[in-house]
Amino acid sequence: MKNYSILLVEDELAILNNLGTILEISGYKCYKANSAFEALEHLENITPQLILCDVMMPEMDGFELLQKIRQNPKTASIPFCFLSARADILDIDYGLSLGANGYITKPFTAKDLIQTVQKLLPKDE
Amino acid sequence: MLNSYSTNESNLVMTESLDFIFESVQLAILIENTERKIEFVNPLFCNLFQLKYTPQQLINTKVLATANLFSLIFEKSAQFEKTIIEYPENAELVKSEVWKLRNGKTLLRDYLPIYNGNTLNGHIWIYREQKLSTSSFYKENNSALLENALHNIPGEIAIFNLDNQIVFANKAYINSHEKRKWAVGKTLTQYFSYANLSLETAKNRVDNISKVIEHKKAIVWEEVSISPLQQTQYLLRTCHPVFNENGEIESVIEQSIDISEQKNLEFKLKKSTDQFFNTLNSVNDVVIHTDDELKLKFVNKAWQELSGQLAEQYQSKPIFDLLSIKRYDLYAKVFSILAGKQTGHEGEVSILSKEGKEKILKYNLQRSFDVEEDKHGILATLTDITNHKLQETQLLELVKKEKELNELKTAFVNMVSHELRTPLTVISSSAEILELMIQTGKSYEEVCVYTKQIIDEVDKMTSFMQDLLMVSKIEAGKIVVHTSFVDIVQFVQRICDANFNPWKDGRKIEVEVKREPVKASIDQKMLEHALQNIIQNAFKYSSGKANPKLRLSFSKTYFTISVIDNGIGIPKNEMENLFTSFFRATNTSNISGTGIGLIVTKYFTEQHKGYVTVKSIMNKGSIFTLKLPY
Repeated sequence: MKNYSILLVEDELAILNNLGTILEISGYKCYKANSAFEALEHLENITPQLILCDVMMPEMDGFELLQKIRQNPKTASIPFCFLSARADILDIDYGLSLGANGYITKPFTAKDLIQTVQKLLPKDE
Repeated sequence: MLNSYSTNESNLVMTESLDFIFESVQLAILIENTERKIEFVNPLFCNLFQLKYTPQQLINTKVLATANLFSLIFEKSAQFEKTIIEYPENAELVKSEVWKLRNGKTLLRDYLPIYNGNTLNGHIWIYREQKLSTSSFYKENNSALLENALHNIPGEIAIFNLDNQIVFANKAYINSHEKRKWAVGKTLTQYFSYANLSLETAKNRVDNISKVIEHKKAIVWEEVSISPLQQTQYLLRTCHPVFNENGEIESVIEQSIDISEQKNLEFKLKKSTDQFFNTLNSVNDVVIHTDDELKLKFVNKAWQELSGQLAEQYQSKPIFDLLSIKRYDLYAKVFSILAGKQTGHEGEVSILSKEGKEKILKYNLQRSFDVEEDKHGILATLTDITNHKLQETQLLELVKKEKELNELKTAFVNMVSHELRTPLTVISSSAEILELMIQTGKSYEEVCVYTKQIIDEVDKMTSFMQDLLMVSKIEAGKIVVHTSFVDIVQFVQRICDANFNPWKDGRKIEVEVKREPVKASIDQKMLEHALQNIIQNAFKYSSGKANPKLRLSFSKTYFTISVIDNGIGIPKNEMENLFTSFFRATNTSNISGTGIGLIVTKYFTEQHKGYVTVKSIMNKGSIFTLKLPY
């Protein structure tokens, strides 16, 4: 398996750590950001193959972060997936309309998470 | 015929009078004999048809030839000529035929055969037109024909001498031949008595005849009587003096026209007009009618009811005075409607009612047309819609409230969903990680990180459920206070250290004490809960900013606990909703929260007979203060 890296953005520390643990066990390299600002900082130095991001975060939410990422040519094409407790169909539609490639609702199972991640990552050559 | 029942003396007066009658009754008359030659024509006739001949010149000429002279003034001249040719063949009476003239006037024509006994003597053509003028007296006549004509005229005619005695009365005046014969030479009073008629009527007529003789001036009056068919009859009676060549009064002619039909029409019109105005006055809407200068012609009673001002005082004043409105847009509309550039206009105005309250009126403006004056005006109706408006506002408020409640409910469900989904996510992912760890034989310490996470999240959920229950208990008023004497500084410090130092982002809360600390009697559980909520808020809403502070201050009778943060603040217009269940300020959508905390804090503080105050500046920070008595 190619050594994929994934950027995780989540303000709830317990969830952030658990996500990292699950994905690392599955063989992915993870960068963790505790806020949208931290995520933007990371993106200045790294180019992950996927971004998994919470919606409800203080100061800058996931929707706004996605818009910023899509506006920046350097990051615009990175697959982006929301991971949110906002499970309303309107929120999901809105998130996808902003250009998200996936939307996982909380709580999720490890299996669902891995399947979505595999689907969104570029295929092995 | 006349001679047969008149004295010689009265006959003399009468012959002259007949000529006079034909002049004084404003009729154009032509009498033809059986040879269809003109026996008599009066000057009015010549004038009416603008003939170039005098009456004398026309005597003995052929009727048809004369008719040809003026037939063109009729709209249907051919038909007119046809009647002149054909009518005498049938010798039947034709009354009030309508003939339109080319100049727009209308003539009425009566056509009467004249009989002497059973012998046809000729025919009389009578044309009636209002503006006929009388002209010189014409003496050539055939008295028999004239008398017959008088008898056939539709209206009462009688001639009196200066002693008030009847000289002549036509068939309309006295119907039966015998009575007529009897009446000549008698006074009206005598005749009425003889004929068993109302003596009061007789007296009235005699009085008027006497007045005409005395003042030598005509008198006109209306007489009301009951007809043989028990119908009220209205007669317009005229009494003229007749003068001789020396200007002395010789006799008096009394004539009447039956105006019952006109009178009845007049009554009907008045009744319907009254009814119309009664209806207008009984409707609740104000009805206003103006002339072409927008001055008021009519305002109904509803206006008085509404404004307390008499409708009469606005008579002939501009419509804008009544409404006392200064709305130039409306002025323009009114003028535009009056000019016919716009069909109508609706809108609302407000006025002060007689009770001094504001009334909202819906107005409707339309152009009206006054047929009589051939002018346009404005017809305005005003409907009081104040109550309607009020109900509408109340309804809208209810709808708004309902909508707000619904939004609150949705927000609550979303909040609960989010508050449960977040810990559930931690629990489920921790459990899955645990499974993997156990499979791979990880150490006890490593496993413990995840079991602790599960326990913590379960605690959070439990605490959340307790908060929810607390609110329902508070709202049901089922909380009991258990107080104990406590060192407040220690109490506060312990809460901060146990729960917040450090907060999950590493920040801490410092406790500052002002003045000499005092012990106080409090319900520890309640106050801890109350305090935790506002400290937690201080951290939550100041993410990335400086440390929040807790300031304890002791006064003589009370102490205060203030929690100060440098966070996002609270929008000014939302402050009043801060202590409403499940309410969350609009700038908090990205920060998880239940909308429960502050109501619990407020309630618990109040259970200590204290209160909560809030100061906040948007994007600068907030200060929540609990003020509690000892």
